[in-house]
Formats: sequence, structure tokens, C-alpha cells
Amino acid sequence: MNPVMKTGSGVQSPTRGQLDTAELFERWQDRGDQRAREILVERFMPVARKLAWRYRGAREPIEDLVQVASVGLLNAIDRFDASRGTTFTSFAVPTIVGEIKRYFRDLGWSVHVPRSRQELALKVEDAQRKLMPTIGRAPTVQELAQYLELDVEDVLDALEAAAAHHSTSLDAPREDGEDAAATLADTLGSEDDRFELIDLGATIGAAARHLSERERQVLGLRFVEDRTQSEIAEEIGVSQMQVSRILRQSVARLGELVVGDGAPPAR
Amino acid sequence: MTLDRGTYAAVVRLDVESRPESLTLVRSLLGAVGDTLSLDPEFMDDLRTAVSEACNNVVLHAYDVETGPLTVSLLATPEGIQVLVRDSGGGMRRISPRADRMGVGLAVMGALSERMELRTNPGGGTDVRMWFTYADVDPDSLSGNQNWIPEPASLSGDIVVSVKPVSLLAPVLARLTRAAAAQSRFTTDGIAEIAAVTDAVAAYAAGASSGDPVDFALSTTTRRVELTAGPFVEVKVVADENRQQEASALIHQLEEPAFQSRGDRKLLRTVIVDERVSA
Repeated sequence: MNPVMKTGSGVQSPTRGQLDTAELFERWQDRGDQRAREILVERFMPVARKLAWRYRGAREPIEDLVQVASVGLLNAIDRFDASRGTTFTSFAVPTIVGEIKRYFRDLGWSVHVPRSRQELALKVEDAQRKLMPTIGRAPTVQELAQYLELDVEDVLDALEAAAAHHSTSLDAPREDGEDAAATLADTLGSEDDRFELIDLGATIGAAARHLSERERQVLGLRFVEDRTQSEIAEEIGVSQMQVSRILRQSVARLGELVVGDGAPPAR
Repeated sequence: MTLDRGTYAAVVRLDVESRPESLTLVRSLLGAVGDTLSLDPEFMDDLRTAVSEACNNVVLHAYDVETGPLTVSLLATPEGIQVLVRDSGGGMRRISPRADRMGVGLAVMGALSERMELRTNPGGGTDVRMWFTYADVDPDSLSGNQNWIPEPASLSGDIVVSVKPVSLLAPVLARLTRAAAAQSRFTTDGIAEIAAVTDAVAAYAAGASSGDPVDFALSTTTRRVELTAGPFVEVKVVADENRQQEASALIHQLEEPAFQSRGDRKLLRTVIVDERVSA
């Protein structure tokens, strides 16, 4: 329907494909030919898709990332300056990568990376517990990968994340034997100087910003300073029951922020 | 353990076969270095993606039918990290930017690194050099080190690594041994116990290293990893005596530990087996 579709009909050169691309750019940028732009998008979409896949995480649906990459591709198509002598691909890739990174930054990059790793670590730990009785021993990494439909490398990463966390845990008091509280204690206890070195610490540190001043104060007194609920009650002037409730609520909220599937990260 | 990235230059060299599974080992190495130097997650992400891309090119395109050697070397300086990915395959024509797939790979490497260079070696094979600078460093201050390549380790095995300084040995050894064990079908319990062995070896190395790079080699069969490390001198000066004695005691508890002499140096060899899984 459009002559541009018949790619390179008049050009007989070994670099036909590249000339075509140049021709398409000329049609779009000099003459505003929308069809030429569409063909360029179609032609380079595989590149955008490939880049999106490289940046896929445990959380972002791949379609969202492809979408973001396409925006980068469109920007690149509109801004490409063929007279500079570089190929379009070498111009487009940094533009697309930049767009994907900006997207992660807007989502709160610092939360993004440890979040997905930590989530993976929890999934893997959970799967270990489930598989153990069936197999009669600890599972292999391959068995975990198969069970969770993950790459072997992802499982290995999760084990490394868990090992890093356990080895840096502090011996903080447990709250009624609740795992969530113990985990929280570990990370909040290390908040002052060590926490940015720990994935989970960074995650909770970021998530803790979503708590109120009072919630943070109570958590700090309980887990960092190891004070009893009654002592805290006296210090901040509320009943011990209220302290107990604040602790329970903030631990639950932190749990949601860190591992939950509902609450969005920091914007 | 954390090291200050500004105080020394760290050098690591990894030699593996150009198999797809080797990419996991390469990324384990990067992870160990990144964690030890507390590198920024975004920096690590660029490094991991670009180096994976370069290694992937080697795995897919460097050798015609069989696999061949893949060497990844890292130089960490106060400015950033320089990476050299080397193969001894057919040379540049295979990663010509004209082949569209490869074009994307090269563009990714170029986009994520500060600088990238490709070179075909006269004797065959290709070098990909990439420079990654830390965010607070002026890229123009990059020193060249064009011909920098660490010496190969003096050991042989499926996975051969050379590390300097010795303080970087513990994280690199632990991470790569676990990755190798995972690939040879260790259970997660077996993998969790590996740290005790590698920590003992690393602590021993800290007292017995001659100041040159420390090498280690891993060879794997199903549920079995053989670890050789060295060369070590006789332990004379001990920085932390308690720790050293503890390490020596641990070393002697290792499964089949053996010291082999090599001139005036010696090698430590041990075997890690996961007996939980019956064949």
C-alpha cells in the first residue's frame, strides 16, 4: 500500500538493510511520513523487547517493561541524527536502557532490587520446607528451581541473599516467637551503620519510612534498645496495651511493605 | 566483611570453559566482588549485564563446534572496575556488529560501560575490555592499563581462579564453591556447610600467603567438589594467632585434606562431598 513497504526495491547493495533504515528515517524525519515511523518501530521492536527482558525482575510484569522500552525506542526514532554516522542501534540502546532505568528509579530503585531478591529468598526458604518431607532430605538447587519454575541461578542468588542475611543478623530479642518480629529486630538493630550493607536491611530501612514517627520510635525502643513494652509505655506515655498494638501493627505493615504483593513501594 | 574500595587494587582472574553454565560462575564472581566492595546496586547491575553479554558472545559465537577457554579478569581500582573478557576462538568476524543479534549485545556493552574496546589477538581470539567508573569519579581520569592482564593461575581444574589481595579470597572462594556445588547437585544443606570449609581455607591462606596472588581450582563431579588452593609458604608470621590456630585446626578436620609440595611452596587440597543424596 505504501511504497516504503517494498523494502529496498531500487537499491542493489550489500548493505541494503541499512540503506533502507536510512531511507525510512529520511521519510519520517524530513517528510513526516507516519508509515515510515511505524515500520521503524516494527523493525527495531525486537531490540526494545530484548532489552526489556534483560531488565526483568521478580515484580514488574514483563509487558510493563516492554512498554517502557517502546517509549525509549520512540524517543530514539524521533531524535536519531543519521548525519552523525552512527548506526541507529548504537544510538537507540542507550536511550532505551536510560528509559528503563528511569522507570526503576521512579519506582524507587533502592527498594526495587533488594525487594525482589528478598522475596525470592522467602519463596526459596518456603519451598525448602515444603519439599523436605517429600524428598526426605534437603532439596538440591535444581529441585528447587524446578518446583518454583525459576532458573537455577535465581535459586542460587536467593540462597546467597539468605546466607548474607543470616550471617549478619544480630541477636535481637524475639517477639513472642514470631518470625516477623525476629527478622525485624535483626534489621532494625543494625540500622545505624551496618544496615545499608544488607539487602534486607536496606529494604526494611526504606519501608520503615512509611511508618509514622511514633511507630518508628516504638520499634526502635523495642528492638534496637531492647526495652520491655512496659518501659516503652512509660517512656512515651501510653498504656502497655497500646504499645503492644503499635508493635503488632507496624510489624505487620512492614511485613506487607517488604514482602506483600499489595502495597506499592515508595514513589 | 567489607573492604574499602579506595585503599588497594584488587585483581581477580577466572578461567572456565565457554559453557552456558559458566555464566552463573562469572556472575557469582561479580557478586562476590561487588558485595565485598559494597558497590552500588545500580553499578552492579550495569556491570553484571554488560559482562554477561560479553561472556554470552563467547559462549555462543567464539568456538565453532566445541567449547573453549573463557577468561574473565577484573581489576578493581579506586576509580572503578575494569573487565577483560578473553576467548581464543575465531576472532572478531564472529562478533561483527553487522550481524544484528551481536550488534545489540555490543551496543548494550557500549551503553553500560564507560568505555569498551574490542581487539582480535594475533594468535586468535578476541579481547573485550570494558571500563566501569564509580559515580563519584570523573571518567576522564581513567587510567589506561591497556595491556593489563593477570597471570593465569598455576593450578588446573574446571574452574580456576587467581585472587589478589588475599582478603578478597574468602568471599570469592565461598561464592564460587557454592555455585559449583549447586551445579553438581548438592542439597541446600550441603551448600550451607560449604562456608565452614572455605572460611577455614581462606583463614589459613591469610596466614600462609606469600603476598602473591592466591590461586584456587575447583573440579566437580556429581555431588563432589575438589578444591585445591595455593601456593602457600610455611606459616611464619601470624597476624592473628588465635584465628590462625583455629583455621589450622579446621583444616585438619577437613575431608581428606592433603598438602602437596611444590618446590618450597605447598598446595592444600580437600574434597567436599554431599552424602545426603544417594545415587
